[in-house]
Amino acid sequence: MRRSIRLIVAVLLVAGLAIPAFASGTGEKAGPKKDGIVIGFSNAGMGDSWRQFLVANFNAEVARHPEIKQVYITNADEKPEKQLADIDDLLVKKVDALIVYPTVADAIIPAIEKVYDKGVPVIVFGGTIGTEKLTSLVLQDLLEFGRAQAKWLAEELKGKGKIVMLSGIAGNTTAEDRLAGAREVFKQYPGIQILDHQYCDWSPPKAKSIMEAMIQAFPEIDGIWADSGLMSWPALQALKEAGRPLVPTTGDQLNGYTKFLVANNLRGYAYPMTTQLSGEAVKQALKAVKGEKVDKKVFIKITGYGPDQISKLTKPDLSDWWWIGDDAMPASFLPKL
Amino acid sequence: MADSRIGTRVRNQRGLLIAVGALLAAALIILFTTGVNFFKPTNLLNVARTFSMLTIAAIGQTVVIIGGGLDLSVAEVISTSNVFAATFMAGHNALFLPVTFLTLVFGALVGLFNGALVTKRNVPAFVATLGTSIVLRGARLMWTQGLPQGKIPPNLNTLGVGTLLGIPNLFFVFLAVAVVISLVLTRMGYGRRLYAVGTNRSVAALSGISVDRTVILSYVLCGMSAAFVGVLLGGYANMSDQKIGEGYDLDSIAVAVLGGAAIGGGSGTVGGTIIGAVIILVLTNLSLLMGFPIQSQMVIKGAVIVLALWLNAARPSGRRKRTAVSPVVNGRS
Repeated sequence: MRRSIRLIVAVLLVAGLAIPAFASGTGEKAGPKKDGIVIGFSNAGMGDSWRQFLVANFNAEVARHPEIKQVYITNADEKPEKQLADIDDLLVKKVDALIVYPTVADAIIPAIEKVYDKGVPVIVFGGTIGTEKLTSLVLQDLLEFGRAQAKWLAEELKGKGKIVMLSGIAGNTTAEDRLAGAREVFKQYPGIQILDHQYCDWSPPKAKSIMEAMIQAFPEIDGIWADSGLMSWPALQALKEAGRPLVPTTGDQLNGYTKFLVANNLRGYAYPMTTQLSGEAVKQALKAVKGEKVDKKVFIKITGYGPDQISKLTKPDLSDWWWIGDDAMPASFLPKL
Repeated sequence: MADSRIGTRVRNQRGLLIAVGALLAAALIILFTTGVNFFKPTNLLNVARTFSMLTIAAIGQTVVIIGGGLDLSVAEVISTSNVFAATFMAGHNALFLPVTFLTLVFGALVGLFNGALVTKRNVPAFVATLGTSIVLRGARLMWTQGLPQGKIPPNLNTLGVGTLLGIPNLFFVFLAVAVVISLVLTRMGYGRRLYAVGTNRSVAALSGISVDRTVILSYVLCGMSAAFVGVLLGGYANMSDQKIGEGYDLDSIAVAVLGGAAIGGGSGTVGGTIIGAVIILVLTNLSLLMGFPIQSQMVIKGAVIVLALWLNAARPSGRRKRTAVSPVVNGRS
């Protein structure tokens, strides 16, 4: 009797283990769906105005597709462990596709792979991630970001001049890729002399005090390569306060930076770190749900803004923390800054 | 008694003054060998601005350390005050003074809370102020959604970057704070009570000192000085920033300790802290001027602190005992 009970328990245990194994998919997508689509968006955080624009662009793209019935957005507050739980929650809500902006890309790989294995299309955007088990990766070429900025500055200085370089956070992939791209270009211009390079953590006050020291150390600075307007803007303020000539700079599409350029009639270059990635992720998610072909990697094509476009796109009356060029959407979707 | 106390302090600071002299000599040697000029007036102007803001925060920290405490919430008080001030000033000159006053009240309330936790609930200062710091950051991010807020009024910006008679406005603000706190510590009964409490709480309580009130007030002063730095940093950067105070917690402790304030309480002076700040800032500025990576500043700060603590600990035990006892006498005097 006892033996047969053991046998039954053993059979049940084996069956219990086997059933989920059969139930889980092998990366094959579920059948195509044309209507009543539910999309989940696991966002890393909402900690700055750039992220607000990211969500605004997401919502604006969703509104362009009536076939989307429902959208769930979660906010991980920059914590990978919360993002893992968020993704589980979204799965419970039976989303047809999952869009993920990773907190720490490698920390959430298991969750991404689990979703993929269940046959739910998963679109990751914003940066690289160490797994192939995803439907599509939507990103911006960050090496090109640095290259385009450096090329503009080198051309602006006609291939000759002394420059300083200001980067974001040491070791951060975004900052290092932008820097590598820029250095690659500057090498092709032997007339460009890099006086100094410092990391300013994308912190305006830090960039200002570092620039103040650079101003003291170098009597001639002809240009500033900064990977973000968060640093070229305070660097220009430091030059202005020191009574030094305001030189050509590079940055991104931050309105505060471009407003300073326009107000002081300066030449600068803004290469966008586009917040439209989220909209592209929605497009890819829909293609996957509808059974259309989706590329494993989708690079968004970006065009930098030279002085003429900057003066057209800058919004002098709006917040310094607006992102120019990323605001092509109905006003109801725009962040309230 | 007061004369002998001042004498001891001068002796204690002799080593620091020698260090400053050696540093300035090194700066001269660097000037003549590499051409990097630390003494250029415009550079001194920049250093004076950074020095003023760091030292105001560090003086507040010194007061807490003298009383036997430690305040790790300084950085978040600075950031929160900065965002608070910019939000409510909203770029209007007329709101500069009233909002600055409110910001100081906010800093005082944070200090009051820290002090109450440490004294009334016996929570270790490290844990209490760290907890406050996390609460402040969370509350600020909930309030602002992490978005930069407000606008700095032009008169605050002038205070932050302008000069008077060729000297940065911020330096005059620092001088005023330093003189007031120095007088409080050396000429007023509160200062004597604070040294006594920091040296030995039980003995201080037995001598009739209200230990809790003395300690709480030290945290209130520290909170107010941090809040003030938050406002001044807004003027300097001409913007609010969610992370503007980052690093000020440990930097303020480092400067105070380097200046002779002992973790554990009972010693520390405004003068010592000023010299500590000079040493740290001369070193970090020189490293930047010479083109060392900014990360080297962390190595420099860390090494200087470890060296200072090592030298302090290497003193003969009899001397340490003497310094520990004298403030109790001060408390009774």
